[in-house]
Amino acid sequence: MSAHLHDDHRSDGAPHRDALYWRTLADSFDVPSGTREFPPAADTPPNAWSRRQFIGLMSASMALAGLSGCRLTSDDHLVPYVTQPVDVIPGRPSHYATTVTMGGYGTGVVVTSHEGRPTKIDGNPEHPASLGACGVFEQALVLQLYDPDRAQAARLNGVSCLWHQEMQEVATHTGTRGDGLRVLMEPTASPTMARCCAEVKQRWPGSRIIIHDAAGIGAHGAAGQAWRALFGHDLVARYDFSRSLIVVAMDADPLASGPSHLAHARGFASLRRARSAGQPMNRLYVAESSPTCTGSIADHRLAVSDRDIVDLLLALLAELMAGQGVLCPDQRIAALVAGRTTSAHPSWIRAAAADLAANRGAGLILIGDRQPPLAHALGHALNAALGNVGATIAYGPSPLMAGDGDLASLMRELDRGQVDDLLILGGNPVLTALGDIQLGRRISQARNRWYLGLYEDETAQLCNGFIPQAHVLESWGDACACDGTRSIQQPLIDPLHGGIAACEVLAALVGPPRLARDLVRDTWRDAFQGAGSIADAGADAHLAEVLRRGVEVGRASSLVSTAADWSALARFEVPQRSRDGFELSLKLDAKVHDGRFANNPWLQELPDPVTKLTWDNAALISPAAARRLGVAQGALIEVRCDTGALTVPVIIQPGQAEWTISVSLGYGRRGAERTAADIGVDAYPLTSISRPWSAAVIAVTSRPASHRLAITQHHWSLEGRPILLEQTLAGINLPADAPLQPPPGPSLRPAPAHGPGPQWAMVIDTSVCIGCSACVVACQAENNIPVVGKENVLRSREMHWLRIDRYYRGNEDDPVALLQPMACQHCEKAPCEYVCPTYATTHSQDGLNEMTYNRCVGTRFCSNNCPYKVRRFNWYNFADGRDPLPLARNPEVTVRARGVMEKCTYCVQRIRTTEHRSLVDGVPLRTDAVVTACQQTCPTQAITFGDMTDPASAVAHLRAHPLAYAVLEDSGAQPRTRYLAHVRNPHPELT
Amino acid sequence: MSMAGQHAADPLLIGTSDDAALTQRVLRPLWSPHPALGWLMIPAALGSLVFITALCYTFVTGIGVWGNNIPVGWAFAITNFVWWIGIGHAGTFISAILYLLQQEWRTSINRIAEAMTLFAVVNAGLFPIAHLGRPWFFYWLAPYPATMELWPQFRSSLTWDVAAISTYGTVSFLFWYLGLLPDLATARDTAPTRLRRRLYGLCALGWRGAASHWRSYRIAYLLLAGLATPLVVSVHSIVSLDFAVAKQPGWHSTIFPPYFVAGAIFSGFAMVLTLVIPLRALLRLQDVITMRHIDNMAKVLLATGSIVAYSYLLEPFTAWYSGDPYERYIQLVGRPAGPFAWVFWLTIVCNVLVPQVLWLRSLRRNLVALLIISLLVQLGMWSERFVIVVTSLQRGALPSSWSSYSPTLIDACLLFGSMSLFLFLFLVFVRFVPFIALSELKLLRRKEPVETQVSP
Amino acid sequence: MVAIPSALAFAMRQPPVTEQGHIIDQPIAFDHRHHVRDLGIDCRYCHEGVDHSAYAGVPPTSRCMNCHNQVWTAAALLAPVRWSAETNTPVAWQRIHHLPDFVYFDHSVHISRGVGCSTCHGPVDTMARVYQVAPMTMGWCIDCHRDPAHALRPLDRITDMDWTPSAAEQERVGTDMVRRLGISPTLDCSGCHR
Repeated sequence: MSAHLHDDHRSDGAPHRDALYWRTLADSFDVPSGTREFPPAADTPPNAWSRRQFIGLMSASMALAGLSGCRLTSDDHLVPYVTQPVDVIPGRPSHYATTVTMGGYGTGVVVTSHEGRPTKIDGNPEHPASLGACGVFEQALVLQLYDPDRAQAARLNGVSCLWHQEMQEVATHTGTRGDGLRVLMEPTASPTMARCCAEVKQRWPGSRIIIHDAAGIGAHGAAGQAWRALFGHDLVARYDFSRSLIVVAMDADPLASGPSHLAHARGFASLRRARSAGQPMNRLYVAESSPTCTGSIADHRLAVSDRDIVDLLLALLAELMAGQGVLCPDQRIAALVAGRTTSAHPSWIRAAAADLAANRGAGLILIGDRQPPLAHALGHALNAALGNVGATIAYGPSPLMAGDGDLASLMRELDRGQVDDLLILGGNPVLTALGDIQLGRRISQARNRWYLGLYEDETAQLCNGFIPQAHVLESWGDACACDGTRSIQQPLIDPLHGGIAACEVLAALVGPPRLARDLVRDTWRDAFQGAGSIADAGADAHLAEVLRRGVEVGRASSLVSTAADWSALARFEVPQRSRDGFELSLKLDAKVHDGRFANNPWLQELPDPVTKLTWDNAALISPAAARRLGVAQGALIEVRCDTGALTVPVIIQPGQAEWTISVSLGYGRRGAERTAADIGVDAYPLTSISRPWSAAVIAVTSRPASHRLAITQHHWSLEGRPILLEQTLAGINLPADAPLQPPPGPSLRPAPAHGPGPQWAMVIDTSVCIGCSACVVACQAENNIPVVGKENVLRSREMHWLRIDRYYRGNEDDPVALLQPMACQHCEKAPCEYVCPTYATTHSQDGLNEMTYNRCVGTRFCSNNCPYKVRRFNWYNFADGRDPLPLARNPEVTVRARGVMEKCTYCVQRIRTTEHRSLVDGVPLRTDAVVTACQQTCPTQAITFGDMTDPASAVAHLRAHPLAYAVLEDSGAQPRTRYLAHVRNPHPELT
Repeated sequence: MSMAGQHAADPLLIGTSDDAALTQRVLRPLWSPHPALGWLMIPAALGSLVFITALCYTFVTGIGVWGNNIPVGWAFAITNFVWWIGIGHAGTFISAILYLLQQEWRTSINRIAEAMTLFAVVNAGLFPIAHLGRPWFFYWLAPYPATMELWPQFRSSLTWDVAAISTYGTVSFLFWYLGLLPDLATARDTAPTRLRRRLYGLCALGWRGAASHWRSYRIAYLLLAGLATPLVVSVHSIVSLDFAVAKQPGWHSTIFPPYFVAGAIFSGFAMVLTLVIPLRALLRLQDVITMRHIDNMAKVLLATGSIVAYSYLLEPFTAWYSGDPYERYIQLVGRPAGPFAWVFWLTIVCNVLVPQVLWLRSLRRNLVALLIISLLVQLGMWSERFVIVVTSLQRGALPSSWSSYSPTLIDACLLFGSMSLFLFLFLVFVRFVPFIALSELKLLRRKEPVETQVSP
Repeated sequence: MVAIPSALAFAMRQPPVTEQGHIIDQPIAFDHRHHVRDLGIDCRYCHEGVDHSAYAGVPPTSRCMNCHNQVWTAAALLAPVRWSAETNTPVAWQRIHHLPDFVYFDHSVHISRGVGCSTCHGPVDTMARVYQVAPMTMGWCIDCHRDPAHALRPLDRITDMDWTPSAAEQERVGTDMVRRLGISPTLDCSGCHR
């Protein structure tokens, strides 16, 4: 029966699933099938979002809810299943392990599903690229799934069509060799995709597969070129931060961007937790043009233009060879070094060199993906010379599928009219293609253009054929992590808009249409038969296990030994000495990446980790540059470059390199996405094949007009207040010494009554907070926090319960950044509580500062009296239709109405649920049983939560630590949330 | 407060017309109203309409239509509320305290002042309800047997407010109406048309002026005066506690209660002058409301103004002396130099410098100057409340949450709309109600000749 | 001034407002008397989630069909059930016991602490059509949370519809339960509101 339901949605006549096989498989492991897998309710239109209607959603048709009763209150129906799935307990969420991909690489996640609605995405602890953590993009995918702007139907020349018939049509009219067939796709590390592509190539030898990656990560970027040249084949470097005592990052943000940033951050944090002098602690040197998360916690940050990085590397090499007697791996490098001597930043270089030399095999030099191949080669030379290769860096085979060329080659073929059928599989290349490729203009030279996309975006508008793409939570697939670990992607919900997976499209091209599920299954079976010795049954059992755990544990691809052929050095273009004048530096955005998340309200409203800007992109310029140009925050400037001009508002960013103007990509979208429309400016046209990430600025002229930038933090100074305490490793107080902070004075207010049960408390370690904002999105997803839009952010009415405060110390051109996650501190003597006239905010027996929404009349006195200003108010009915995605809401948390106050609850719903379970199951409540959303997702595990009365708990231990302090201790509110002082490890000579 | 004018040569009542003439004279505006007042009513009515529209819009849409935000959770609404409540004080002060102190000069102006109090309280009462996020639940602030088995929290100063203001409103009304009774009766007896006789008779509640009536009237009046007197002090003290009990820097201050009460009477008398001076000119009441009244009120203005000035001096000093960095920042940097510093300096000019000119007798007797001064004082008092509410909130303890505030059109509509409503109600009052305590005036007339020579 | 509020306060507690005893037509005329009293089917056979989930749960159509594809297979009364099973469209029952959306009530905890079905839902086994017995106001909840002893029963009598102990008996059992299970119901707001 369920199988029927399941198939019906494919009205396009796709073949039936092999129901029998999958029922057995489904029973054998935790993959939902039939209704369980795809509760049809999930595509019911969002009508009302009362919690009970969510329960109603446990079955198909709320449409039936028409029976009228005569009661005072509104009708309310109980809609049970017709056949209740075996492992579904209405009211208890289920968790499925799956994989999400960025730039082809897979990240293992665990998705929470309420009666078939995916509501939250967390990291998969067993996946090497996640380790239980989750970034902002991965978490925001759940919102993207329900995005009402997603493409709804397949079309050809403006009329709806049956996609697979059209694919067969393409297949037939493409000749036997298929010389005119080109497939343009995003990078992929999916074995199934690789297999499908191979089949296409096999059927049409003349066809070519072009891979386009806007992010330019790994094999498809400069690093890839460098490795290919040096080692002869595609490699990917794996960095082990947990063994790197000295980290030098050059124009790189390894902790907050890139496919492995979660693992990097975890490793980095493991050496960043020195809580007493003498403990091992790493030291981080960062040279970058514009502040990043990594730069924010650097011990020594250098603000240099992107174009100066190569010179900096050469200088570092020179210092190591001359000053530290490090042997240069090759004469050609020595020659290069000798040819280019710079005297800039001597102390920084000397210190870094000394540290690197003193920690051979325990150092790590990272080069950003935006740097030219030469920089990566030099980086490898440094690492090799210092013996870091093999110790902190290992090279493995690149899991990414190698294509037959890049966009540039496609451009040439288009011009020569060699392309008849262009099949674009996602990626929105028309937006993200380098400026001088002008794909938007050239693409029309292909006779037949098909696009598989989530949205009717820029590319879709230029393609005569369109197929809606299945969301990553809607379709089967597989992927590899950087280290080659394979994992499976399983659907959580039936495609809401009949979306199709990329592999299904390719399969339909070469033969009868097949389902992604079968394709994936076959791939994995073949892999086993290839590996031999495992029969089908074994394969299925293994597949079942992988599916249950979400990852093929311990199957990382083996390393490859690297012998660099330095003669390749000659092939790298050596950038000419950097000229004066401004440089326009283009970068992927921390919130919309390459533009693919521009339609995601959570990410648009997420304050940028550095600038705290929402709903916009802007030109970051240094205070010095602002003085020189005579512009103020928000003023419009026109940046004229060799590749074009850009008119963009200004943000004066402390720590920005003086001669660099940074603009992030992915804004100024022109697609059909409504949220993304009219936000920011599109900087892609300024990119070029020769310089993908920068442009030489000819002139910067300030315009009379200005632009209102919705920035969530306006004041960056601590004003000398006891808010954020710092300490150096050398100066860490031992318990014997005086505490960092004098205890508060006597208080007239009585201490609150504590119950017998646990006393919940939180400790946040600012030493490891990199400000990546994953916790902010996690909180938003967990607690149904609405999005308020730009106008309300401008009126400082953003609703985030958890914000990351950013302060600066030192001079504004080269300041030290200080980060502090700030949410309700759950004060024991809470100032908000005694001023509420209706007892809407009270103190619980277990030490929570409770907010009872339904008792709140909205006097806002509590917020006025909150020293931390962490309370948020529903100025309008924010949780109404404008908040588009009721299906994504967490039924365990009340959706707040207009006019009530709200704030961080320590995820009280998780606390209460855990308590109830322990009561029902009769097992005592473990102190670490409750994990808050922010804590769960934090890549560096900066947040600790638990029962402070339990001496065994980590929280109790940390609260007692001499580094622990309370923000505004002198206010006497006795906050439950405490912080660990920010411990730095500066080089003695640079302090 | 004995400023009944040792040196004041002016009488409290000019002319020796008999009671009938006096009645005729004082009630004339009721029977043959002044056209100017009628014309004035049109803009006032329109303004009130704007006020009501803005209120409804707020109720329907949510207070997001105001400029408030986090951290500035309170702004215009609370400022207006405190301002109006303050203005109300003069009425009770004049009618109750001056009565107990047997200050005869209160007689000709107390009715006007009491009416002003009532209308001010009506306005003041609207804002706290309007500023709620969910105004339809305002009754949760009152103690009643809910099925939730919950009471309001009596530790919260907002619940004190509810009690204080409702009491104040009730007592003020009773006091005002009790005083009206004899005059309503007089109006009934002298009304030209039958209908009016009926209506005023209805309102007079059967007052016949019998000796027994007068006796109980006197006792009741005295008791109410005694009852109202503590309210003059208590109400604004409690309103000031809305701020003083909070930890918010700039609010957490012990001098607020006396400081607020002084400010209240200050602004109240300014409002009385603002109303009386034009009215006196318009209706030619120079013989009833004499220069003596004007002069005395100017003196009260000067006295209370000086108390307010002293409080202004004291605030930054205590902040500095306390050594609390947050208080210091607000008082010594945030207000004089931060956003809205100009409002702060406007306050200083209007409330501290301007009233000091009243030391000059000539200016106390210059009606035009007095009118301007009284207007400036009210402007100053409004800005003072704005400074206290907004500049404190926008500079809290954590610099990361520092933000600014900008009012919206709706905010403006509500402020000026409430003024229009006040004016409208007052004009209606002047048109239909004996706005000068006639009976007391007649009493005074008997004493007057003596009165002018010797001071009480 | 006084009369109106007190009148309201009184009215708010009356059945028409609390919906006590309010009878509603259900899509299927399901009779608890027959199934519980006559056939002795345990509550948990249909409301299976009650002891391990917040929601007691309403039986899926398949549960009805377990028996009714054997007995009364042709009964007109059961036509809607068969229709539901055949067309795979669920039965939309009318909710009887309304709690506001901001109230988070967990059946399983109450069951595990010895609160019986009939304590809140009344003698369902005597109801032709189920109706609400308790006022279900916050005050009514709080009463038990303040003094649970008078509402508890042995764990093996949870679904017993005939559990009507004498006052003394109840006192003894209740206090004993409170002591043995260490029952201390939450009075925190966040216990039910989050």
